[in-house]
Amino acid sequence: MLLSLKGIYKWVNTGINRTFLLKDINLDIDEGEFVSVMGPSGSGKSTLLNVMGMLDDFDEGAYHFMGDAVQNLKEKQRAALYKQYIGFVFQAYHLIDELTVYENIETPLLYKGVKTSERKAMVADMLDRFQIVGKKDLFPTQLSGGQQQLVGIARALIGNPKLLLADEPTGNLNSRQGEEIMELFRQLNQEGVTIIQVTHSEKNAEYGSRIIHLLDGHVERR
Amino acid sequence: MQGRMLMADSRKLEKMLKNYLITAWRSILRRKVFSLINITGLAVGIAAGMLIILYVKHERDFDLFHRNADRIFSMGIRMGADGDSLFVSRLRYTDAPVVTEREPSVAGFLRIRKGMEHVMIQDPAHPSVKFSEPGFAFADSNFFDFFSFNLLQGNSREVLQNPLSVVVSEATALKYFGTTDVMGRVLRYNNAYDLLITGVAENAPSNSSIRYDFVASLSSMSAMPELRQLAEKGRFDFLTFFTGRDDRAMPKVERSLAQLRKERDGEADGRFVGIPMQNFRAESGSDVNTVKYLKIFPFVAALILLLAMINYVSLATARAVLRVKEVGIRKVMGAGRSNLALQFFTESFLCIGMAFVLGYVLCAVLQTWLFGVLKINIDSSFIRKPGMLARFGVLFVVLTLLTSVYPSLLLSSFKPAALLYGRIINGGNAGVRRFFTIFQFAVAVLFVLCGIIIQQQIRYIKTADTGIDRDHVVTIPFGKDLSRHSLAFKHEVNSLGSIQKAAIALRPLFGGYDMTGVTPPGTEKITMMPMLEVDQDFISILGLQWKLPPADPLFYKTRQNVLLNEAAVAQLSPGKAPLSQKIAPFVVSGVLKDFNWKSLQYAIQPLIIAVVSDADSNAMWRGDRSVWTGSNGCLFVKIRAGANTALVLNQVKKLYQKYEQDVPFEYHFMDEAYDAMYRAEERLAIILSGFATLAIVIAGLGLLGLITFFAAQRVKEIGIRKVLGASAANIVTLLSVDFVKLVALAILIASPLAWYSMHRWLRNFAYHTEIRWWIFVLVGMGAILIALFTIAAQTFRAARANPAKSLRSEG
Repeated sequence: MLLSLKGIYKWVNTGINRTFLLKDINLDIDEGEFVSVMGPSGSGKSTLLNVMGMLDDFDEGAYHFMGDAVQNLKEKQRAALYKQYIGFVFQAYHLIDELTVYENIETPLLYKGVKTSERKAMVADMLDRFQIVGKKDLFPTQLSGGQQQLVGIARALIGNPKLLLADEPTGNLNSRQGEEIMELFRQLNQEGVTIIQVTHSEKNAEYGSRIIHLLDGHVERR
Repeated sequence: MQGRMLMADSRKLEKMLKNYLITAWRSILRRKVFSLINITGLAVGIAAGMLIILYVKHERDFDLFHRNADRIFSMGIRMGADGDSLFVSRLRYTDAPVVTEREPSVAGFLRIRKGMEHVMIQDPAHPSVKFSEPGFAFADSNFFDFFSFNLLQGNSREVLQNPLSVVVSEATALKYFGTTDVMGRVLRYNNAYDLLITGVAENAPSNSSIRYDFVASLSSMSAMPELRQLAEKGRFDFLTFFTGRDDRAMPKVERSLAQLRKERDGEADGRFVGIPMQNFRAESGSDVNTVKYLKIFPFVAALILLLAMINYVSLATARAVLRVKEVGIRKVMGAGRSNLALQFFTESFLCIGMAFVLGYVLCAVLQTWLFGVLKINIDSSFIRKPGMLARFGVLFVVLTLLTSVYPSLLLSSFKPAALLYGRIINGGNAGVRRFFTIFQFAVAVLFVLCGIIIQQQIRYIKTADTGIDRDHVVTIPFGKDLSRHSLAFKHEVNSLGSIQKAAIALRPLFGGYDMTGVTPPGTEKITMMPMLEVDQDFISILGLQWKLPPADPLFYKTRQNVLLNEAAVAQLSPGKAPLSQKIAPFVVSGVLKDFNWKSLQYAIQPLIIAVVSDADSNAMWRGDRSVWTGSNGCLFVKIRAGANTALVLNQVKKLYQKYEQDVPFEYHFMDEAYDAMYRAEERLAIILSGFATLAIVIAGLGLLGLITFFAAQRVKEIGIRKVLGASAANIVTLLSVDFVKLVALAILIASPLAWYSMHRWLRNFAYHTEIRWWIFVLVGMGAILIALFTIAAQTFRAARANPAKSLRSEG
């Protein structure tokens, strides 16, 4: 099992009221799965994704990631964990505008401390795989949305993550570009990458092997 | 193994830094305007700071660059009672050798004899190369060993060994020979003696009181009969320096000299006083005020630098709002806090480095111009001296640390989830920013207020009725030859059509005076009093007013008759009818109304005016008085209003040259001589106005940063207000009021500070202007207007923004 959530709660206190963002989430995800998370706005999709990605805390419950109890880890250890095993893809791509395509993809390796020669080979490999070698010296603003998201995915994959978390990866793309990205996800999944994606679109959700519906912070059974 | 890891680590760090530098550089380029404001702002602050450091270091080191400067002191003698004494900063020829022999704590001595009069120097090989030189001195053979002036040619211990040898400065060598390779050449002294050039010295640095063009061996004096007498007569004519073996030598030398004087002259008047080298300038020169204001400048520089730094930090953190996304991405991509802190530190380092280089260049380019405006003399090479560069280096490190640490820590502390999902970052540092703004404006307002009040004082001084009519009055110092024909010269000048009147005096006004001892009625004690020796036209040419005119208009025909000013009457014979009072050896024959014969800094002091008749004046101005008084006399000329000044002066020059060939024609406008007394104050005013402008610009930039920050933070609030029906004007008011409050607070803080410091400063002047309340109102309103103007563009943009955009929900 890759990760398991047991009785996860997350809330914010507003005055005397407590608003629950996540309510009693119980979820096991195995390696090699492709999970789609769906639900209306404000249902807690992104929050759940952030909790799973360890970008955000939760208030109650147990979260085990590859056997480690996340709630018992210190912030630094948690960061070390997600840096090693998780890649993130965002709706708004979130590329660094000051860096070229090549440098954007390279950056995670720099933070990991990968040697120069190895790094070059890895980035070159990734550029080749996504067929964006010709664009490597361009800056993000010079690319189309679809191309930017390709770079975003390449950057997420460069560290060989076990888990890819994607928050509405096609939300800013037109349908053709979106389809291409989803095809790419399916392919990646077949190669062994576990993927959890948040999406609004039924069609995109169908790419997943399992669909989880969220409503008002808890998992809805159908 | 460990070594290899270290290597790998360092290579990793290197690659990382390179990546940071690239990002930093691109981010600077991306926001060109912002970076330009930020870097130039800092650079200007740095340049100002550097200039001040340069100036202060230059002045602090004044005369202290000599080896053992802390143990060098000069000796002088104070004659007369305290209060009205005369200080002669020289000793007799034989004093130093005897004292050095008697006093084991003295390691060495140096005597310098520098006459007040010019000497003629000529290149005998080219007789037309001939100049009248003011900078000629005789000195003991150890001159270049005693003081740390560098010789370009010649050995410091040998150059002045022989009589009739001379060391010239680099500038002098170039002036006479067009080259510095002048060893063995000859210069002729006063058309009589040939001096052999045995050395060439670097020009004395600008922060040396001791300046020289020619230094001849002291032994040369014994080869010149007219000067030999000086040594033999035992006059206090030799500037004498001692080096002590420890810091207790000075009082011992003072005592030893007193003992020596007792042995030789019996119970003679006078007390010997040592002057440590660091005080030499203040004691010997007139630059007392410059030294006094020196303490203010480091404070001003620190404030300006602080302003620039605060501004930089403020803008850098304001920009953080724009960088939060990047921080979030980098964190998600695996950056640790230390990675990010280092990245922003590198960026800061790059910006500050650029600002620093720009600042240095600005400083180097501007120094000549600026010091010219300020009438400060600083060698342009000073900025390149190792001592200066080391100080700038320290400044750089301190600056980088102070300005980089806070933004780096702040930026790297953001939490990624919040950033990436567009949650509003609560500016916990809003309070700090408000404080920054208040501080910046307070300093700007303080500078402006002080600058204005100092300017007002200067205007007050320039327009004050001092009892002297300085307009169109020119003074012309006499050369030695002319002093013998001063009467003839005066009459000839007087007969020129454009000349209203001419008068002779021993000294120009505001340019020194003599002291004389008098015995007031009813006492035995001698009181030392300042005295001016003038002729009968002096009073009318300067428009001096009578309090009690003399009964006999020809009073000056009698030698003992003198005039007093009111202050002198008050001091010498209060309560009595002054006329015909005897104040031995003089008799009072008239009283002049008080006039400011010295700087307005001082209350009017007692003054005796000895009016010398034409008959006496031949004897008066002639002869060797110049050796003792340092003045051959001078002519006061009042030019008719409307006359062509240049033309008149040219006519006077022709007359002058008829009598005087050696000393070149010189003239000084009296109002300029008057203004020159307040040069230090004017300098202060210029520097403060400059800094006030700078402070306003910097404070404005800081405000711009703040409004950008706040407008960005309040986008949502503004959007909501607009949807609810607020007009653009409502929004502008909403945003502006906050800032006006801050600026008003700054004014409230700065005003009493300015009032207090200026009140104290003005007390330095016996005659001064009043601080008026409306200045504060005016400056306050100005500051608020500037603030409103600065934030206008941003507030209008915020007010006119489309609320649909700012209120769009984030996915």
